Amino acid sequence: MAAATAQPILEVRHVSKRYRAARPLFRDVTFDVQAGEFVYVTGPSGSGKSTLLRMIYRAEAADTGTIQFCGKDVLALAPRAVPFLRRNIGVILQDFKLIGEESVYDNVALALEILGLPQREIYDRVRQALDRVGLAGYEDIPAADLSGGEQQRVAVARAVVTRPSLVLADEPTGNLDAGNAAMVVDLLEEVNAEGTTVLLATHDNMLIAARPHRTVALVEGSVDEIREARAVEDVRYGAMSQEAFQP
Amino acid sequence: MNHLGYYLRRTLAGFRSEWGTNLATVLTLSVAFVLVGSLATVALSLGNQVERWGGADQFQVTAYLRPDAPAAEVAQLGAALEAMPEVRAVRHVPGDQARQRLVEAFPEEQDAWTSLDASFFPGYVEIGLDPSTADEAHYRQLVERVQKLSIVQQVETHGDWYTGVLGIHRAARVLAIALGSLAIFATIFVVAHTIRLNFYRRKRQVEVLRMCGATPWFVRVPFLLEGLFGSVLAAGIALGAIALFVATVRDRLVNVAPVLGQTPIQHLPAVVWAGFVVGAAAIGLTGAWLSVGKALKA
Repeated sequence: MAAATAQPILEVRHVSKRYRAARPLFRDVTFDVQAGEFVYVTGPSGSGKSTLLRMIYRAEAADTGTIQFCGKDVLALAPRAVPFLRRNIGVILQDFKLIGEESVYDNVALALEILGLPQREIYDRVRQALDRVGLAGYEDIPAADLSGGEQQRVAVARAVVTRPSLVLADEPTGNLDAGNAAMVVDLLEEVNAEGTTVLLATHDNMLIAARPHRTVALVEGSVDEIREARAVEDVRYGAMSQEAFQP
Repeated sequence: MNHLGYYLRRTLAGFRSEWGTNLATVLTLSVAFVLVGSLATVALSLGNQVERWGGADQFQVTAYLRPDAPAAEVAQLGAALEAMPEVRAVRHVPGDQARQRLVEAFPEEQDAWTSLDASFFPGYVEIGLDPSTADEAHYRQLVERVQKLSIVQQVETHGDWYTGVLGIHRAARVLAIALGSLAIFATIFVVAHTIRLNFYRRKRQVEVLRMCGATPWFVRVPFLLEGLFGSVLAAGIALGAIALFVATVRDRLVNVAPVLGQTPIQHLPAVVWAGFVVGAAAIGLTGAWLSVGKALKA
């Protein structure tokens, strides 16, 4: 893992979200992520992990609070600035979010086409990204024809090909078997080792146990129960308790 | 400009992936454009016919002279007419010149013209009134006065033909404008719905684009180009079909209705073609813009 710098790349402050008035999804969530860190966001299903990640790339609005990314409050960005925020964030989702009928190459190249890079550079960078995720030679295959693990690796390639500052991975191993899941997490750790900050949302306690990183837990949406665990040893999903997260 | 290649590739890919829908749309638009283009062709041809029969010559009167009309009286008539302020031109065509004109107009009947007696070709006086000073009343008044002259055996005018064709021309023009307006709305509607359908079929693609930081404009352009290309293609098909129809029918029409002249129906001029294509492009862009704008907001 690359050494995290003291400079927070992401500062989440007092963020709250509710879909139903009677039951907030979470309240007053506050934590920092340093540049170059690998951080898990964990919590049971429905705790708001995905919503929190979606807020970071402004696919979702918060009711209150601020999320500073590289010093800018993403929640206060004008709509026209949101695409430029997203160009600095690679996103990997549980359902891969690939365009099935398009080739592996086109799926990865899409992120670079948006940046308006020359075709030669796009070609080189896509080849490098696919090589890195072990899919060299798969360029012309339609994404839908790949296995789940391969599709998720294409999604990883697409997320990192633009060399973003931050990669958000929302349950990236949720649809994968153990072998493929390990491969995807290996890739994310490699990306992190090169200096990219990674925020991985998961409820897979086995994964957290096997690959220890700092963990932010969202539990029951109560402000008292949302804790940030800085010591990896303190956080074991199966043994999670309020005491374990006392600062 | 770096995005131009992407836009074109994406547009072509969109056309290919939704070829059935796009083909149906192009054909539907073609039919609408053929309808409007045909009416424009008819209106234009009638307009030309009106101009030929009427227009500057709409107040032209031909006074056929009696064979025994004294030359002095004919000359006197010409001078009197020329002195009238509303008369633009007076021309006396003697019988032999009248025969020569017929020979030139219908050379295949030359033998028949030459074999006929000179009395079959009365001399005549062509009287052209100035449209800027003469009105319908002047025209009627002049016809009545000339008809009363003893040296005149018959007065021919193009008035009835002119009035009839003018009426048809006006109706065709109104119909072309009305149907053209309807067609514009209908085609915008068709394009908008096709593009919206394509948009929803490619919803995942749009979601991925937005997730990766595409601006709304970047998402929108390929759909706009799809609307534009489809519409322009339809206009091209329609104009080609109309041109083919005009080329095929024109000669036959001359044989069926020689009174219409050598060019009873005419090809649309280049400026109208250009206007048609630009209009189709505008329709395609408008339809696509409306549908994608709504879909992006949704």
